[in-house]
Amino acid sequence: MNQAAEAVVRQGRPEPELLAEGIVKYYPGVRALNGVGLSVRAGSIHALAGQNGAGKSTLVKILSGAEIPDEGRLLLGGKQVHLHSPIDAQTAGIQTIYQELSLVPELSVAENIFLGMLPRRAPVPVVDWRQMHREAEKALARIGFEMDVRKPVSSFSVAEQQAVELAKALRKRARVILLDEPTSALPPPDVDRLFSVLKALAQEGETMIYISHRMDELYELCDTVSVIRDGQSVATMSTAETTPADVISAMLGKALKGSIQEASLSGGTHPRLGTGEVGDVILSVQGLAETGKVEPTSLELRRGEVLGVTGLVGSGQSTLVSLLAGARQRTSGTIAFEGKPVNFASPRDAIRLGIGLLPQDRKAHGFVPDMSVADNMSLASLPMFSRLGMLNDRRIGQTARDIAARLEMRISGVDQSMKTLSGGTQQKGILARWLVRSARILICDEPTRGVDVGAKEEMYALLSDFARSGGTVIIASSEISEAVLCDRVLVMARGRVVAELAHDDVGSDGAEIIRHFA
Amino acid sequence: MNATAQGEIPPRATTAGNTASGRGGVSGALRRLLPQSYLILVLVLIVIVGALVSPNFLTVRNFSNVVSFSSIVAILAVGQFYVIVTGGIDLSVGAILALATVVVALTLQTGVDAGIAVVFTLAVCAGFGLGNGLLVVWVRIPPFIATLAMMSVVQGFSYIIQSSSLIYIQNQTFVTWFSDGRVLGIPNPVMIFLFVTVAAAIVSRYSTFGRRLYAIGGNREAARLSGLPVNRDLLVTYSLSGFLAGLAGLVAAAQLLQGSSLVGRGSELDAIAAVVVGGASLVGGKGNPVNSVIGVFVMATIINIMNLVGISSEPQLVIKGAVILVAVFLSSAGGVERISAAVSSLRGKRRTGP
Repeated sequence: MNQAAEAVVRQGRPEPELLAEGIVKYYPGVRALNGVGLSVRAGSIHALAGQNGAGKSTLVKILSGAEIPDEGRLLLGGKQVHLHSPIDAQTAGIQTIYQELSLVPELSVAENIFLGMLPRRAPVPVVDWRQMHREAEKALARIGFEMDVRKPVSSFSVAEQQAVELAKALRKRARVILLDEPTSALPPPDVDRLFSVLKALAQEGETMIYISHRMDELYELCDTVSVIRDGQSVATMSTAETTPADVISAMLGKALKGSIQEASLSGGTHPRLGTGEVGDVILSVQGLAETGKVEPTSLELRRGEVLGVTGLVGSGQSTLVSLLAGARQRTSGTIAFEGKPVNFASPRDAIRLGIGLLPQDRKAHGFVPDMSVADNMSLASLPMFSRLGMLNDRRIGQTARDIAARLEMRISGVDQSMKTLSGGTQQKGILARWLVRSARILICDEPTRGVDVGAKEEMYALLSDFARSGGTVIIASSEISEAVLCDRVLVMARGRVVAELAHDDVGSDGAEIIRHFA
Repeated sequence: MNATAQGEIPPRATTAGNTASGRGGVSGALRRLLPQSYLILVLVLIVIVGALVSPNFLTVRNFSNVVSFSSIVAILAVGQFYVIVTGGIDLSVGAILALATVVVALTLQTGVDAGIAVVFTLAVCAGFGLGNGLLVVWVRIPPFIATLAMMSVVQGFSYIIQSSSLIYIQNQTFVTWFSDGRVLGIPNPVMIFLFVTVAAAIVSRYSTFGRRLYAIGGNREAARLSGLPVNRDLLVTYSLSGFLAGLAGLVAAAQLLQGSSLVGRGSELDAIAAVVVGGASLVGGKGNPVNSVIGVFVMATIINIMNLVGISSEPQLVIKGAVILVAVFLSSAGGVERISAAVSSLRGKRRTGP
């Protein structure tokens, strides 16, 4: 019996609400899970941590019924259950709230909450709207939300939609609620609200499994953390007795000493990605604006600088940097590159000047999933590898192999298709595309979103290398811990730059930045 | 999820030059190659069946019949493949084919040189293709709707300029070029379609243009953000499809010795079916033109065998539909992997026992 289960015994509750034992899952050629165990006490919020590829998402899939384990057993409230489909899991009482919400946007809030089990009125089988609306309001009230349940879900904010999803899960018989990165799209005030809702639910005895990459969240919300590495359970610890650095060390399988994140987490010294030495102005912008998204903004970017643009999610930082990369169309303003006015009508124009973008939504905008790593890397530099319109695949492969080795990409070969790689490796592949092209300015929009701690560290190191070798970097990020690494930080709120801070002025915990939010 | 994806072959990237990266020995190699080459196996199988059921099947005469008959759809299929690989579709190619027969017949009637008539016709057809491209790129109408509308426009346009029932073609030079003539003993229509196929294969595999089309179909936004000239490439692709439909129309006109707006009705669907049977995905980014052409021959050979053994045309339609479904299941729907997974899981169950 492991530590957590012992703790349960001590508290006089003999059975954990959810117990997974010896879970093994094979995929062709890979053993994704190799005897993972998990014991979740009733009424607790239990965090699941692990790097991408550690087997965490496979375990989530097994718990939610999306995958069937090859070995091992699953007990809910002491009784063994067999989950062959998501519906089995829901009937058994495991409700999953996914990162991407699974609501029907056109249907009303009440209809979504009752989807698949609309209340009927006897004797004629028609929907009992009044009862449904009343029940839906009650379900939302339980988690402290008051909404017009007749309005379509699409008319509400992401936070409210998440509340609908939660109410829907609670309406069903929920023994365990699985929350998969629920905060990835939420601005901080909504995160706080969600947390207080979840804590209140735990007080009422609901059991939750919480998955997130963000250590601060795990430690604020959860009472126990289980760490998975290489398909095995490596540690289960109480958040009261450990620190985030312990979890990260367990995830990585090595001590975190001396890393950029360790410094940033411990809040002592805060390192910088750039050298701090800057050259001439390379890009200057006057009154750049996109109606409704970004107010007229002027800024100057110097060679060798690492410029951070931060703000709450949706404050315009992403739009601003997309304008600078030519990925979006400005409605007014001028851009000058090395003093010469330029017109970015498309990304092509910016790329020609050596400006490359790492887009925020990696999957949707970053790469061609079915193409190989080599083809994705060479995508922006095809003319470099061709004569008379014909490609030299051998040179593409050679260049790709060199860069993959330099970036220490974990791939079986450069002909592996991009979609089979982990998030961090995909991000490296996109970065590689601009290194192949010898880009001079890298514009990174949330470069480490959805990337695990290990890959995050590597990404920072790569961007740092790029800056040290004379490259210029712009990082748009809603994570303060990322913004404090930059040489200079622009803080945005409601589409406007409200503050400009030098690296040494942001304060180790970014307090100066937060002061300008709101 | 990752692991199942690893099991399948990245559509084009691994084909030439780097097969050495194989893992898992002979059966692994077989499993990876099977989805790629299964079409050839299917074609060989069909040929064997044909030889068994009909003594007339394996004759030079029958073979050349099948090939000549197929060359028109094969040319259409190549153009269609390029559109489909970008994630689009071109429903207007059948109508453009018919238009080409009318335009070339009319121009030849005026007594101009055959060369001028051919160039003019191809230009008109490429122009309508460009029209499709403009509708898709600039007006931003979905390809299905844009080319459906264009199909109707082109059909009507052919009727109007045709103005009589049909127009005979008497220009012998033209007929020689596109139907009767031979180069190295091979009929010209076959030469044309072979040339088109080989050129298309080279372009799709080795040219920057081809690579860009796969990228656009695979992820259009990623292609745009990588600085690819997405709009220009789409315009070229739709123009090319129109051009090739025109070329197919010239062959049809020379074979039929007439121009008529009724020629080639529904051939766009044959072309689309062949491309899909050839393993391309309608979502885009997958497949190759050679497989599309093999797809044409798979369909044509089956029809030929059915004709030889005297199956009437109605049951032929049913069988044709079934063939499309089976072929698509085996290629794009991942049928080979699914069947082999089902077989291995069955075997596993038997071994461990209940």
